[in-house]
Amino acid sequence: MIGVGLAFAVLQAVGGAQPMTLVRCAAGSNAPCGSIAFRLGGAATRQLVGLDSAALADGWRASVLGATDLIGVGRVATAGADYRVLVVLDVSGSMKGAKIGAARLVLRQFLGALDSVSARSLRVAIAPFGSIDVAGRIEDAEFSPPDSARVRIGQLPAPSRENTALYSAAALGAQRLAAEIEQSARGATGLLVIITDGDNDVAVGDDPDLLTGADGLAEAAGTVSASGVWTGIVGIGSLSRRALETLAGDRGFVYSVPANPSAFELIDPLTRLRRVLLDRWIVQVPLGSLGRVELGRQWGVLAVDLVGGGVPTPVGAAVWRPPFVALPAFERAASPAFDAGDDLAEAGGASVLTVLLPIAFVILILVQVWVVLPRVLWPAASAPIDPVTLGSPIVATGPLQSHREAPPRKPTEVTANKGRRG
Amino acid sequence: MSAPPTVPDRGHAPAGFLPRTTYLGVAASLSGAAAAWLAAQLLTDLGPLVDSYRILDLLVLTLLGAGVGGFLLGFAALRQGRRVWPEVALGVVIGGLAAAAGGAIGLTLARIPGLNGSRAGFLVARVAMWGLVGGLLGWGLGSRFARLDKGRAFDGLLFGFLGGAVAALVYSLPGPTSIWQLLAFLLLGSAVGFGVSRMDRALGILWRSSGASQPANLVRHREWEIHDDQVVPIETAFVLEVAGGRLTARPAPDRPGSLEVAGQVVETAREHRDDEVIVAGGRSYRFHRFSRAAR
Repeated sequence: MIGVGLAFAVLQAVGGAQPMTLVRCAAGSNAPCGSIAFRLGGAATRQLVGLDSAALADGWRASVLGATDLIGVGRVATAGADYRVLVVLDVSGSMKGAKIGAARLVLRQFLGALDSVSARSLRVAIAPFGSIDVAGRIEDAEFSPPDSARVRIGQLPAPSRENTALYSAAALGAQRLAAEIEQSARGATGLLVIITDGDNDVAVGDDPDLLTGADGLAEAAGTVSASGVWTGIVGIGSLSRRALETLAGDRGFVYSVPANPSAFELIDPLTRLRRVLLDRWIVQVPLGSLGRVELGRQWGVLAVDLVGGGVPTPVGAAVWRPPFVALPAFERAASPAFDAGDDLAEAGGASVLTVLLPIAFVILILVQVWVVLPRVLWPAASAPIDPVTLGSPIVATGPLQSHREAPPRKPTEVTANKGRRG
Repeated sequence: MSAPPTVPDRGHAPAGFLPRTTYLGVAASLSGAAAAWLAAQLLTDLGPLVDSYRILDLLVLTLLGAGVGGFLLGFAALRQGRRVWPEVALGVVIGGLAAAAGGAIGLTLARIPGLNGSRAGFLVARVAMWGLVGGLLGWGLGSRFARLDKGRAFDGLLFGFLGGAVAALVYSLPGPTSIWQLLAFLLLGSAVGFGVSRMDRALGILWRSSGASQPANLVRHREWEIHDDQVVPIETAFVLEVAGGRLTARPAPDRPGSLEVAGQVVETAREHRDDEVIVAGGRSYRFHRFSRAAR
């Protein structure tokens, strides 16, 4: 008995895929929606960052139980997630003037736009870098809620006559961010944002041991890659794109903006990078022709793709396990955040036919069973009395003689409709 | 020439044909299952009490078991002229508990990852669960008739299990799921009703003639299955004693002289032959011995 119990415990511990939940597409609607929560993988995140807003709104496609190309509605889910953002801002001499002004303005906007991520789960740090005290400045960067970080933008040092220790700043920033993530109890998602207007350039008089050259680039790229954080490099002006892409690595994005960028030109890449933090989603899929009842038939998998540029990327899958005996029931109504639209809210209403047909079927069966069939099986409740039965006991001679037996014929009775021949 | 007097209901099914007791068992169980199905249609949303599909399944199974049990035992009591409502209550309790227990075991088995991670696995788990539910339901309700026939619980178990397994497959068919579910309920109910009401081991049946020239009326029909070595009180009208395959009719203790067998008043006990008419308390009864039980 104990062995059986242990076996069950082990089997349960093996776990299973995340389930799909069945919700009403809108409050008061009978239209069923499948709801699935998932965390984007690397490929999907890359695709998400590359999509424009319009494409993203229409980008979720799903299939389940033979129904394909269902269009889902996605919402970011921030509950239970932690995020860490480190902005490393170039304050070398070349950033003087309009560039640093635009960068500060855009950073404020960027931090403001992070409001969609829960302030409790997001910590942001901003570190300036040039070529002096690069490690110290990055190490001193304090992670705080976005509001506090915005205040610190004004306290950043003005650009001075420093060179650009880009490789070292990237490597140190990635290490600092990784260390911060390690302290997060919930495995935070990290984003390293580097804003610079110059290629890596260090000289005598700068910090010792700054990374430089091809080896420096390789070492920095290795450090960034090993940190596991997402990296976004915004290059202002004409920079070595190859070097920046090497530095950013597989989990990185490189954006180039003009040498004298407008705020708009600078905010676009940051807006896209912000999507790295939107890695947890709840997608709600109207199930179309699949009604709530039909879902009770079979086990299935709700698969969700993110479609962008015509290429679907699988982003999540959830197992649909209907009840074994009952018909599926709605777990809840969809959150108002999922704007199902009036059409959807009204769709899926139980038609009179849907409700009445099974009830009529039940009535029909019961009438058959209680009224019609008995009359067929036992057609007559009356039959002439067999005088033998009332007069004298029947001697049982074996199995019951049929009650349909005709009474003994009298000699005068006609026994056939046709006369005998000859 | 006046019309001959009639003895209603002389055409009881011959041996090998479906006895009305069995038919009524099937009809009653099927009706109980249909009632449970109708009630289950109201469960469209999970709530604070029914907050998961596991609980929902158990609730619906309890409804199914209670419906089948209540109707089956209730109609059995009605058919045998006993008090109906206590039997209905007992049937609801036995049926509800048995079905819920079967469901709980089935849900536990369904947690096995192999049965949980694929379409085929789900189907196997569903068949196993419905089979368990049908088997336990049949066993529980059949046990109620164990005093009459010890093999009845096993019959209920066997037919309930088979009926449940087939019902699960029907429920999983493509098409109108709601109708398939209804058919599955009816199938399981019918199988349990058949298993619990079949009379393979009975000596024969005694039924009360309705006394009127009417079509067959199952609700008004009274019938007793007769097994060997038993004493069967018939509607306080008389007592039928069975021993060694012989039937003896004797008046009820408080009704001496009120019993007629084959037109003769019976003061004490008298052996009753096959197909004789017994008149007692103003009603007539007839016994039919099954051919396999013929002496």
